[in-house]
Amino acid sequence: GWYPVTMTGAMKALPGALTFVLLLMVVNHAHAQHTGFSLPSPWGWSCVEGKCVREEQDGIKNLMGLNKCKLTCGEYGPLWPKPTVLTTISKETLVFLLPQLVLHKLTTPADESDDLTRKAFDIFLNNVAAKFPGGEGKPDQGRAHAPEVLNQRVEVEVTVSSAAARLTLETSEKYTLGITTTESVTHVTILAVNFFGARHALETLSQLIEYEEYEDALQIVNTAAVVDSPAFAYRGILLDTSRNFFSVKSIERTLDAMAANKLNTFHWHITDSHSFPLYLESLPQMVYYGAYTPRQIYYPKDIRNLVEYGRVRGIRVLPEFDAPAHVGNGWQWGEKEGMGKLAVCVNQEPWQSFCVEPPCGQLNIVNDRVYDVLGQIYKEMADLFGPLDMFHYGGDEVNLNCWNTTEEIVTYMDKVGKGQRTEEDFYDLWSQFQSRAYGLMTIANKGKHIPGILWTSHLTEKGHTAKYLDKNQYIIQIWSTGTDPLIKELLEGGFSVIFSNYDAWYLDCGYGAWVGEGNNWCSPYKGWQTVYDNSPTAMAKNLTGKAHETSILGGEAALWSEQVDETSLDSKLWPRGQALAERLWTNPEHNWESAELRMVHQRQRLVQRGIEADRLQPQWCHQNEGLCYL
Amino acid sequence: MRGNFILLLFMGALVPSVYCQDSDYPWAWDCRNEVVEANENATLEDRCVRVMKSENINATGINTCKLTCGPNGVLWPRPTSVELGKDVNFFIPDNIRIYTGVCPANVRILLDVAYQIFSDNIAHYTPDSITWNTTYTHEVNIAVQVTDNQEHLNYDTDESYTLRIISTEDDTAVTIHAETFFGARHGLETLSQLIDYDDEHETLQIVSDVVITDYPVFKHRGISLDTSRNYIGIPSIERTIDGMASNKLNILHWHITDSHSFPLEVKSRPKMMQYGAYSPSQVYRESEVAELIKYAQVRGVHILPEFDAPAHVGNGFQWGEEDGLGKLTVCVEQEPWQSVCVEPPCGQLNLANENMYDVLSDIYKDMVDMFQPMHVFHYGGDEVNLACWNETEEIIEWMEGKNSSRDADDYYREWSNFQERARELLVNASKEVDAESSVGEFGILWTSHLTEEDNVKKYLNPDEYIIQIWTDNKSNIIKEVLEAGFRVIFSNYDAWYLDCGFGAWVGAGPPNINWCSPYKGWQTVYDNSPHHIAKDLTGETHEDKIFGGEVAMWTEQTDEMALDSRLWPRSAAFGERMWSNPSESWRLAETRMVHQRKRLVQRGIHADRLQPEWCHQNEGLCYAYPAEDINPELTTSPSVTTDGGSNLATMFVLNVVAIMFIALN
Repeated sequence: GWYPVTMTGAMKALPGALTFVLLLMVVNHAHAQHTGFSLPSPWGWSCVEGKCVREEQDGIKNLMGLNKCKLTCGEYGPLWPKPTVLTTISKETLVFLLPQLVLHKLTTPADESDDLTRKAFDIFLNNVAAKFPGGEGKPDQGRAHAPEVLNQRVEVEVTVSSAAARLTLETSEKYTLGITTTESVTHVTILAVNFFGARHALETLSQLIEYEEYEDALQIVNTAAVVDSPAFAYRGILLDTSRNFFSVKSIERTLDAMAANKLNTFHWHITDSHSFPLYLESLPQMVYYGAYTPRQIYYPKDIRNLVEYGRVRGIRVLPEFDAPAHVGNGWQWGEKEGMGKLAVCVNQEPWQSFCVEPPCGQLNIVNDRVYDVLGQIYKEMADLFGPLDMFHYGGDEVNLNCWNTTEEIVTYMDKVGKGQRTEEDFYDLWSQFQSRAYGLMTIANKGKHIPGILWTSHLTEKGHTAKYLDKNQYIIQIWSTGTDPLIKELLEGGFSVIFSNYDAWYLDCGYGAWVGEGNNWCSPYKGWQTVYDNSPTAMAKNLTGKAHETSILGGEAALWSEQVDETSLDSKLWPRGQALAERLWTNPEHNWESAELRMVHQRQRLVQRGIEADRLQPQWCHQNEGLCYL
Repeated sequence: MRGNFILLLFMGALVPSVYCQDSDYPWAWDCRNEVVEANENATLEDRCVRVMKSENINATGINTCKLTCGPNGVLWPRPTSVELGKDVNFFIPDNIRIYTGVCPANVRILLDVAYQIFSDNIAHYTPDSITWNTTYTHEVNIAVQVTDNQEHLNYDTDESYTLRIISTEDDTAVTIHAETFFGARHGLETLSQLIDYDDEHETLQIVSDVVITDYPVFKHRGISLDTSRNYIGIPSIERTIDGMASNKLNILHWHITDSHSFPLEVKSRPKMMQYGAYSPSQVYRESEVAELIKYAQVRGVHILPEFDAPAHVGNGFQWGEEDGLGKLTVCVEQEPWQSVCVEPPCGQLNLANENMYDVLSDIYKDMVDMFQPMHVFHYGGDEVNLACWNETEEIIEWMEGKNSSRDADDYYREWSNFQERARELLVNASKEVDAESSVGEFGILWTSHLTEEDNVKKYLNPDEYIIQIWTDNKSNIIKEVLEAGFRVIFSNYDAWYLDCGFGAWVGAGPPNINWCSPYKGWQTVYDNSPHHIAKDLTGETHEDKIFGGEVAMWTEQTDEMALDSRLWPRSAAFGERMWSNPSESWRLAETRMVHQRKRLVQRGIHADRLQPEWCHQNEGLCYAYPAEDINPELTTSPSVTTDGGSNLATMFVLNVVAIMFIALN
């Protein structure tokens, strides 16, 4: 095991009264062969004014291990995201062993929510097991535990009142969590409206449990009460799997980390002009031409697996099919099969004239066969990802010059009496495309209307939105800056919105350029503090004088993947995705400063769970709270 | 099968899923001299163009094209001289034979390990589930010859090699000749880049005919790794060495300790790590260091230890008073930190305490023992904060006791006295182990107040020190040290600090980014030429004095989770600068660079991605104009002649310009 055997010997040899800390904070579980030193560490911690302070042990001071201090020090202890309604956490912990942590009683109104909650409990147990240095929930071999440790039980009782098993924007994610202890039994009581609240409660519970360094066991706070519900209904992460491919395994890891932070929407930007990795049974040509290689494809079973993997973790997998721009590779087969050009400007050069980045491509929206194919794509997507409660149509960055230089489209414009080909003419054409797309999705969704999401674009520019888009059909996802007057127009026009303003929530910014030199377009890098402080309601208030809490459904951090694939996915998403999560769950009044200590500790938890989250600070700052300030 | 596949498909029909066998893939690659006209920076070099397989019978799998297209194929770093055949031979791993020709016996042992590493690297090219087709009977016979018996890398090591490949239909003969083991292992590294897997034939391939003569431009090609701000596990350091080996980098400069933590086992002073390690498991045992040195040696990497002093110390030294030695360090974790150091936590050695030198001597002795044979040592010596000493009562009294005033110059004098004593302690310790030790000649110091104008000549001897430059590339200090006759290593932070460009780690206001932002893209890393910097500042290239360079990985905001993606592939760009010192900019290296990154990933290194995979498959098409070069005529299409088009054309030019402006900013 990872736990150094030599140290166990040393512990036994020393008098029990001598207190010292064998600090085994999270590092990397993978390095099982690493042996530590056998000398006791001289350090211990005490909680002073809400901060864990490191001091040298002298055998007199009653110092704690770092983990206990982190659990019990500070108003919100170790909780992330910070609960919104009520939080009380005691100063004492009880030591127990993993097998003594049980689902004592589960009350649910339906089999499906029963099943989901049991699965969530199993995930919870795995997360708790990962807190051991070896990551497998096993104490060091041969460690003799005191009877009070062996006998300590933690009994969890979960009551779910509604049968809801699919997330919607109306789903209540509220829960209450109580921990009380009588003699050798710690009772955990979870009450939730539905499964989603219950699984959030289990996340919170997992944060009230830590590894106990002296006993090589677990510890749980002996008393706590949490009442909690999110500020925003839509709390998302966007992943682009077209610029670069991401394995199913790495997407699962992303869902794991989202679950740990109570994020609830995985917005999957599956396709783009670069590649088309989605296997469609009725349109296998799409991957044939569109996948980078035959090994880089999402098959139906992969999709269904991920949708379910997300659901048991409280996450909706929301598909985007970006159109009419951001298409290209995958669409090259139309002419060969007698359907004419389905996409135009595909891989056209010089790319600067026809799109925002190479390779170019837009749908040939004057070819009726495009709508046949689109309808088919929607149908399969609705089936694979469904039942859908929302759909993302993309709709960003249409380049009018592409259409305006395509003979087929020029001819069509002439024919329909729009030979002047003004900007407005093209916007009309584009909005007609969008209406047809909406209709096709409704058909694919068996006649059920669902809200469509669209990126801000020329169609949402000043004076356009009301003309081209219906606020009852579309939610607008804002990716301009947080001070763009467009936001005011959308909110005052009654549109529901999701914030992804790039100046704070684009996680791909700040690296080197990938075309040309220098740094990429949206530099600088968005530090976690910037991510944290980006408040949609504050931005709305700045622009309109009102917070528009009902129109703002939430927000999303975007990881566009021109410069990331699965080798550095984790460190680009995390821990900054955590900062987003607290903004969207808690919507705190304060800035990042009072969240820093909890933020750094939550990052350690993600690493324990196998997420390769980036490091924010020297480990010294984690051990010396409040001293890494400016 | 592909023909049927296409015939079966028509709109509206539900076709049973037939995709995807590997052979069922529409694309192939053709090496063409086809300029991307819009790309003004394009050259006339050949590039691999993606085409429809069915329409291009001469096109090949992507790797075949990459191995043989252009003057340098996908070799990285670019060899000094290379002639590359345009064909490949297909073979299976079982048919590789490696022979050691004339060679000293001790080197034979090292070579055997290098062969194993070479085989492992080749194995990484192939998919996990491969079943080898034994009808490929082509043999690959590799003969390696080494003349010298040198086992340990130093500044005199000859790292050159020649590599030849000649082939017939039945076999490929590879010969690698080198003066030393180190040249030979570089040759094997190059050979591994002339081999790749081919998806079309589902087997390995090797370039048919090759003549390479190769040697490095710089002898010190390093990565500096800080393991004090955050601990980096041994497996991660090994992975770093793997990446270095792949790029022919040869010095791992290990910044082991700092004020934050002291993770190194010093046998004679065990309390250093007891007090100084973040936790009992976050330490480097003496035995682990020994193993790591061997691991590096067979990969052509020398481990160069740094013990940074007299600043950048703190945690690990707290036991002095308890043990009756007095305060070994001062200002440790003192607050407010801004007054006494550059980042929390503070700490500097207590110059007034003679016992401190005993402890320092013990640390040095144990380090000399651990890092044998030591031909160069890094004393650190950066960022001394005079206020720390000048506010410490014990030091004030000590200065007064010497009847010294307490001006900056007085402290510089004491600091340089400390440095001289440190040097003597280290040189003596080295001579005890190896009478021939060159450490007295090759001690490294960071640029600091001591290397500033007027100071450097007064306080330091150019025969004793190499100066590692971490200023920006315009600093007068560079001119100063070069003209004073010091040998130098470049690590100018504006190009070679790989920790820059992330969020701030000690609080800040917007934009919340760290001090040396922005992030240094691979292009910046690649284009940073020490000779050019020297010439710009002094009028001369100072080739004899510039030993080389190092990229620096300070770890305030990195641990082993993101270590690989910070270091790689940018350190590969650095590798080519150091090995080949190209006269061209990064543009000519781009497609090879992107492929080298892929190789690193295959070897288990989590290198960051530079571009969409589409760019790897479509060479030369991920370009951008410099903003001022946008040509308005680009948006005029000859196919559009109808009225109104010209109005729109103007409008779109403006749009394109606006978009480009954003993209390039």
